[in-house]
Amino acid sequence: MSPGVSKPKIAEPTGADPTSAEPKSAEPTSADPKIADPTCAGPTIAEPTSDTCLRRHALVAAVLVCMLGPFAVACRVQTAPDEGLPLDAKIGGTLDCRQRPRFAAQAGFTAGSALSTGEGEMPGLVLVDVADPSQTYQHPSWARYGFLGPFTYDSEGNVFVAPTPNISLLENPPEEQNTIFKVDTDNGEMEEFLRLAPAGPLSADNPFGILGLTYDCGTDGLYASSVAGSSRRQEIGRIVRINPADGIVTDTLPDVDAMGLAVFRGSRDTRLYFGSARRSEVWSVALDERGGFHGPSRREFSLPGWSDKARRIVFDADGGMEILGVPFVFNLAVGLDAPENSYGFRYDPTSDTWQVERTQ
Amino acid sequence: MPRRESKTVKDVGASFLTCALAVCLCSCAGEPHSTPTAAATATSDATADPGVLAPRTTPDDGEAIPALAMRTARIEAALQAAPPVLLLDEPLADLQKLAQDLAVRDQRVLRLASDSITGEPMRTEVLGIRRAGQGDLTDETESCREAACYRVELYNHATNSAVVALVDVAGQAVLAVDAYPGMQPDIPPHLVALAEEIAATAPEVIRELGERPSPSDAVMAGSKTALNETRCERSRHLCVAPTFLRGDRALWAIVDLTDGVLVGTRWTTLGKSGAGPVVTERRLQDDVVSALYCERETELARGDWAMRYLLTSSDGLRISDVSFAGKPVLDDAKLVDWHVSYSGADAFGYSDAVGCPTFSQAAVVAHGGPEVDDLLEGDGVAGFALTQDFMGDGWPAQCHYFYRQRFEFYDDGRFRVVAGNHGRGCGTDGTYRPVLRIAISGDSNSFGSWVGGAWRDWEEEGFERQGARVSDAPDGHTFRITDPAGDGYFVDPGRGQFGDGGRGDNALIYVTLHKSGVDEGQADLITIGPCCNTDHRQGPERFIEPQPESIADGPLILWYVAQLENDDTPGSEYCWAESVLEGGVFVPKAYPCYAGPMFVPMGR
Repeated sequence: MSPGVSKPKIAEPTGADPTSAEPKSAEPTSADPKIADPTCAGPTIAEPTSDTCLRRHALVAAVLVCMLGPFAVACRVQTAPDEGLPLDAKIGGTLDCRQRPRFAAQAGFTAGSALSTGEGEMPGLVLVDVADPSQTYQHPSWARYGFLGPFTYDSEGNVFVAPTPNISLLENPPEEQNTIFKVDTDNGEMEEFLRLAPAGPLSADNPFGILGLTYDCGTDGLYASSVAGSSRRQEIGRIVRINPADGIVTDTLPDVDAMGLAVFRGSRDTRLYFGSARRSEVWSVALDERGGFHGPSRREFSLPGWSDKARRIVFDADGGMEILGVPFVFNLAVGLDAPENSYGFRYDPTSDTWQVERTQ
Repeated sequence: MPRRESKTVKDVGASFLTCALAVCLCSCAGEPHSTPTAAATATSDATADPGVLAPRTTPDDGEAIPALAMRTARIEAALQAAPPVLLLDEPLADLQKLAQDLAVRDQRVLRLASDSITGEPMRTEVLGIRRAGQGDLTDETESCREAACYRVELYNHATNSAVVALVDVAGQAVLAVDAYPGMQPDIPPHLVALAEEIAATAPEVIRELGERPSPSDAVMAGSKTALNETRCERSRHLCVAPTFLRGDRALWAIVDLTDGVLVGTRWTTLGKSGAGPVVTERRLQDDVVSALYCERETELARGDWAMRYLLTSSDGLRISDVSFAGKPVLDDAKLVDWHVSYSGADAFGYSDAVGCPTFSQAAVVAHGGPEVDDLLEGDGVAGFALTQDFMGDGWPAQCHYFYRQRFEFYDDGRFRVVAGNHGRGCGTDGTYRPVLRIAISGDSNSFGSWVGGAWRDWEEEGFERQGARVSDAPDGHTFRITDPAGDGYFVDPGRGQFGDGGRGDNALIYVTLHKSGVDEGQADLITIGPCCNTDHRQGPERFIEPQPESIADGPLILWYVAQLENDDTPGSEYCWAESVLEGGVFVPKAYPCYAGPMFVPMGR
């Protein structure tokens, strides 16, 4: 690896990717110790420590998406009689259909393996054995497009991932930052999936493109937030819904710069929640039965932190929401002493609102 | 040799963006500068008024705040006392006094109040003592359900951390001591009053309000968040925000109680809920710098020199249209990249861009705005310098960086383009390579080297190493730039001759043709090269290769890449920084390295 792309600048003990909307474990909770902790650091899985994690940039820090445990549980939940309610009537997140990428097993990674886009010395996507982070796998195609950030995967285990610059633009030219790549669930090959048009001319003001990705099992939809084209004076980013089968953009929410994304089935409707990239606020917009945007966006709440932006939103099956915040201000500055803040919120189905449950 | 106002560790605080000061200096220089309160078109996240940054200095003696002077004296005394803890300056009941006394003598508290390496006391003060509630109790303090226990809250200014002691006053025992890094306890009434007085007497507040307010006029809105974090994210000091309400607007005044100074002010419009945008130190600094220096150029004229400057997205501070006595000298000059490489077993490094604090490609962002100060030579002023600092929030902690750009302009026509590094970086085996781009004015220039006893003009684009040799040219110069009339400048790389502590630049010097209609780096350059090349491949070669063009009598661009090796050896530190405990708080101590060529008018 070229030493020029080593970015061991920031220590992120938990290895979280600030641009990813994906949860470390967003599946329904159960007695399975592997998912009792949203970081997947159950009794059988050792979470990476600060010693094992590389220093990394705050925007491309690691996202460890626990793969095996959550998926196993998700399957149980889907087939269990539960309360007798249809699956789509339950309040909670909508990631319960997702399947583990099949290439992981073929690469010899099974229990406790995780995908990461923040292994400091390894640009691109990396498969990590959470119990032994020195055990990694990287398909040759995974490092072709510089440093990566947010990612998600679908019901077949296909991974969708977007680039995010890390400290410099050497590996991440601005014109490439609005591209979504797809990693085939079977062979692990990563290829360009969709190149979104920026909402305005790219400028030196803003080296970023896609900041958030999430998947919705309810409508088999992929959502991406892009700030490409936005500037200091103009918030013209977009959130788009994409058909993951063919890459067609089926709907667009304009004029919003968003980071973290996640879909939640509430008591009144299903909504896409998104964290503002400019303000310490979380917003949402209702989704129709096809996953399209329906009606105006609404502001849900502000984060308790002074300057945190919600770079990741995670729902659990109990009506809980976890938000990881970072002080993002559209630059490539390193935030060694600005670790992520974690906030917990609780859903009130009666009022269809959220209350702060936890800070840190 | 010229004397310069070297900015060492101690004055880092002063160079923290003293926008107001910088404006004053610019104005003194005859610069048509707007005031810091000039409205700037807002971003969606900013207000129409970016705010005002204060010089961050304590008032002159004549305007001193008695309570502040008394507090300073109490702090100094406490650091000499045993135990070295500043006690709560409020009326206390006997049991509160007892709880405080027990807490500050507890060895666990004292360990947290002193430097773990040197044992020196860190400024620690008691900010609150109250009866412990049920919510304060843990298994460790279960006995407090029956006994009278007090919660003693202390704040360590050096580490920006809260320390909480649970004290059983009846049993005269400290049951638990917990530290909370990054958190700040609620401040007591006397510090609220002091903050309000600092705000109410600050010239910036008086100017904004149009009158001197009463301290009681302030409200202490939302002093902290649920995270108990500070409003001063950069300095990590104990900060609060007294606010003055005027109609549907509020003037926020951020007060740093660790230093006893005003940080800055900003007007916000109150919404229906009565809440406006959150104002913090970083946001205030970033918005002011962005509005004043990133979104518009500033004109600067002083003596025979005239120019404009702008903070760029990724190329640092760019000066342009520089002239001396009416004659164009430079089209522009800027700092494109800092390449930082570490040569340990696992070679690694970074390509750092410097630039605007928000909405930029900068990895190390502007910390305050440009400052203009005098250059001293002998007993007098020999010119002026335009300086811009870029700093990571955590500097001088490991893997944080402090870069300085400096343009020196002398009254006799000399000028120097300087890149400086103040450490600290990620290792002790680092090499810094700042990439300077200097576009020379004029369409017909030649660049020459002194070779074999004569000046030899370069015929085509290329590069040359500075080398260790001292030129044997008649005036000791190494390079020259000349126009068709034979006028121009000698170009002298740094060999340690500039009196700024420099140890020689070991520079790579490139000359490229400034092609008409082709952007070869005039616009903001994204990262121009990798961190860790040790040869000439630092980025400018991309404008030379594969086929160098003729540069005879053409418009020229000079690229200058110094190579500076850091050193942490005690007594010979270079490109380095560390934290030292001073007055009970950590202050940075820097050992900067500066590099850059001096341009000397021919015939001087």
